[in-house]
Amino acid sequence: MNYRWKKTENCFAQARTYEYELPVTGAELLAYLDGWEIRENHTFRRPVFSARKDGLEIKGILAANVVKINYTAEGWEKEKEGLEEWLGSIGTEKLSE
Amino acid sequence: MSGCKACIYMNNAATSWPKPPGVAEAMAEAVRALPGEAGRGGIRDFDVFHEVRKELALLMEVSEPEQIALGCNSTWALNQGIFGYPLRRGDRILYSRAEHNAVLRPLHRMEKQGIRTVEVPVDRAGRLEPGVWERAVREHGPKLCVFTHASNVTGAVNDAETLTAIAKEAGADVFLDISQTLGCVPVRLSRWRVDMAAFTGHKYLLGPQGTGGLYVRPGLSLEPHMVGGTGVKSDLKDMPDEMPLRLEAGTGNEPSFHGLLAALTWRRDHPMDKASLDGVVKQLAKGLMALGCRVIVPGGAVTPVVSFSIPGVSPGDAADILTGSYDIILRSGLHCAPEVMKDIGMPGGTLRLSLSRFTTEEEVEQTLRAVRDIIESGGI
Repeated sequence: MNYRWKKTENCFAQARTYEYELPVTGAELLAYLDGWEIRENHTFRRPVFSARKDGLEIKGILAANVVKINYTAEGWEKEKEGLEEWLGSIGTEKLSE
Repeated sequence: MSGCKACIYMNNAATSWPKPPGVAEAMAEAVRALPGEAGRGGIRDFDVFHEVRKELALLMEVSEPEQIALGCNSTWALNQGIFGYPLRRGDRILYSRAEHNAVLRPLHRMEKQGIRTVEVPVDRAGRLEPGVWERAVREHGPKLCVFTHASNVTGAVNDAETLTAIAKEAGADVFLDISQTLGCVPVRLSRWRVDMAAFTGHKYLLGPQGTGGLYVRPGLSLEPHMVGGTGVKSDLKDMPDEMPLRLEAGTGNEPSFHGLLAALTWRRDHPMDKASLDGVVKQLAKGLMALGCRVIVPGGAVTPVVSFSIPGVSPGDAADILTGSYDIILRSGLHCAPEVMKDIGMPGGTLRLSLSRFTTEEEVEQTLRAVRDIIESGGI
């Protein structure tokens, strides 16, 4: 899938947080996250999710198409490269069916 | 109010929103109009910078509008004041641990240049305690003291008059950061005998971003941190001696100062009901405490800021939920004031809700309901 990303800063110099705008919603993205520890919270006005695997965290609003990804401090560049490669390899055909 | 029709805006300690009627229109009109003449205007020409200075002088209670140099924000002013103040190697600057990075970072650079800087701790509410301040002043004999009038993290307003008197008695000059207070609580620079004060237009003055300035008491000459064209006296190699020209190199942000003037005029015609605002702030703080949040409650004089944490939920996660799921605009983290976090016992940062005269009780109730949802469900 195609996506756009932008670094989102916070107060900490070691922050490795990026926002990704995807062609799918958070809920649709979850279908691809095999082996991830997924949590959903539907009590909020706009339900949210988080997905964790090997220190990596993806979170966002289930119905929105912007997600936030926190990379771990050590080796985060490779993590980012790998995750973006994986995102790019995902087809969205299934979603348009 | 484009882009935020349904949102609850509680980030006024960063930038106030909404702006009063007339601000946007004044800025748009200034962009369309012929530019002003940078100090060369005739008697009949409208000089927005002069008019802004006059309004600000009234508000700060100083009698010399020309001693107010206008620039882009408080950071500009703090840099001008700290780097321009006459100091020698080995001189000391005293400052509070509640300072913003706009103070801390210039001071860190000064330290590297041989100026000694000494930090003074604040109490659990982020306030400078006069006794602690007095001991530090006596022990270190600073040439310059820098402190904020109010913590941008907790809202605690310092007793600027007493703290300044202590410093002056020891022979120090005082540089007061009024970024968080001008337009919100009384500022009386002449009466307090403050030597320099840095302010911004985009917080409680309700003006646009990109406006701010520095008051310098008559007789104190700063070395300009920035030099350049002034539009007049161009045959001098150095910056002119007189204020405000001395500190105003380059073209000013005329459209934004038209906006600030509109905001200042509106404020004068619509005085803020601070007691009522304090009531809304108390409603919020009490509500958060009742929900089990850890809330910093300074007591005494405060700006409309409430810093808190939600047990078991990181400030970053909580802010993401409040904004993403409930459209509540707030700030989380260190708020550019990392040192104060240790003193208030929140090293990981806080959630900060900063209100304004436009915040309603209903918005506070909605915010409390959102926080309750987070607490009851344990976050994401």
